[in-house]
Amino acid sequence: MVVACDGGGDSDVPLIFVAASLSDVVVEAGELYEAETGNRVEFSFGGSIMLANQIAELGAPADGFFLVGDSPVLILREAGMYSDNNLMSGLVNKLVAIASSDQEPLTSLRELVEQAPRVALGDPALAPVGIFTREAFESVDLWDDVSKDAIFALDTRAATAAVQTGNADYGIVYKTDASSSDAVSIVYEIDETYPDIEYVGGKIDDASRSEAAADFLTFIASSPKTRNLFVMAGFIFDSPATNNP
Amino acid sequence: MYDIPIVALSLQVAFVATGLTLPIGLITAWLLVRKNFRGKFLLDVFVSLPLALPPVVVGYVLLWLVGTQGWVGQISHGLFGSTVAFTWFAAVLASSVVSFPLVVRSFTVALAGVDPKLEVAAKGLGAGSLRTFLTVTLPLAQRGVIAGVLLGFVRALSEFGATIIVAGNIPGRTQTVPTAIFTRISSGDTNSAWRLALVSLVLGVIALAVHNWLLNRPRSFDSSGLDRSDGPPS
Repeated sequence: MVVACDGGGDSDVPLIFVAASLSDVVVEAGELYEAETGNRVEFSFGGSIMLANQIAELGAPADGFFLVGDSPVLILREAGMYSDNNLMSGLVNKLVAIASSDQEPLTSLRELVEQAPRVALGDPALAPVGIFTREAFESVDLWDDVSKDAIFALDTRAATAAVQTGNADYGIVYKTDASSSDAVSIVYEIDETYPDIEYVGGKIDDASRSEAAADFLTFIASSPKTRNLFVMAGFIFDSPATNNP
Repeated sequence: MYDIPIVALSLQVAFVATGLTLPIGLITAWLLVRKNFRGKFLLDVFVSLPLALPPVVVGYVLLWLVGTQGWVGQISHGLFGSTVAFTWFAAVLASSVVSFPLVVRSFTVALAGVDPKLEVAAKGLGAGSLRTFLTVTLPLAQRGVIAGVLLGFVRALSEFGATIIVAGNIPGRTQTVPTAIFTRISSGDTNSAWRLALVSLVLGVIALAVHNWLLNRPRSFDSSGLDRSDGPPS
């Protein structure tokens, strides 16, 4: 019987809250980290805003975070849980429209909206992808049109899955999500204006295992192998990163 | 193979939750069946409340109690430097509270089926209240109690709404079969979602089959059996 074991994770293994869009690549980076250092890390994945609120408002036991966009960082900073010390930055992503693989490419967001399709979007209240999506559509005055019949998903992966399973005609997701599934393809690279999509990794100031979390994030930022993992997954490094002090 | 730790954690949560609801449920059911006191009606309503509330509300109330802002959470934070919110024990709490009404209802029916005269007789022979309960009432109510335990266990195993609020959905720490299925559906991982759904189905069918078998098999040793065999021939 399993009742006797602690089952709740080892007490010295740090828990890092990670943006849904990073899930595949961070799991691989975690395996690489364990192989090279012998240390383990655990992750909780989800929409970055939801995760930041879990840490800041609900007392979720995160030791570190690797989230996307300004809003989650602001939530953590306002709660006094994160003082500026980016351990991982310079990693960026792009926004694209996806559809099932047999769809024709589009030439603009207007063309997408005019087909009156069911579009899967990230929920701006939970996932930064929703905020970027809203800004992109607002810049061309199409947000009201697209959002009134949209399917709001918990995070970018859930929006991708809605298209993948045929429950949505289009999805607005990160470029890296589009390449994570064979069943969907990019029909439009969104070049309407939206803020830079940048990932931020850091430690939670007073968490009991924050140093262990910091060690992992520093490893990701500095190891050529993990940087290669990100590049292979379609992420872009816009700077040589903050690895060298 | 990622499924095994998830199923193990789910079983662990359900076993511990059942271990909590069994004694507390027995005391509660005994109070409701055998005692008359002021506020009994309120106790009955309070006990059944989780059946009437959306599980997310149960989860939110629990989070409000045990989280960093709740008074239970602040006490435990003061004592141990951490709260149980977003730990596997939070999943136990969620499962316990949500399954409690089902457990108590089954126990109530089971205890009500025991002839009070037998308890009076046991006490007349010198047994105390606890001894009477453990050696007379409980054995006579055995089948209903076991059935209630199984019902509570399957409900605990399938808990989702309260669990995801108070325990989160952290792989390897608090992710149970239902919350893992949710993640897999959300991320379009349909094959592995079906696989875990199948596991749920198998566990549920086994527990319910045992539950129904216990309730329907021919009676051998319980209150009504004793009544009939000991009564005068009609």
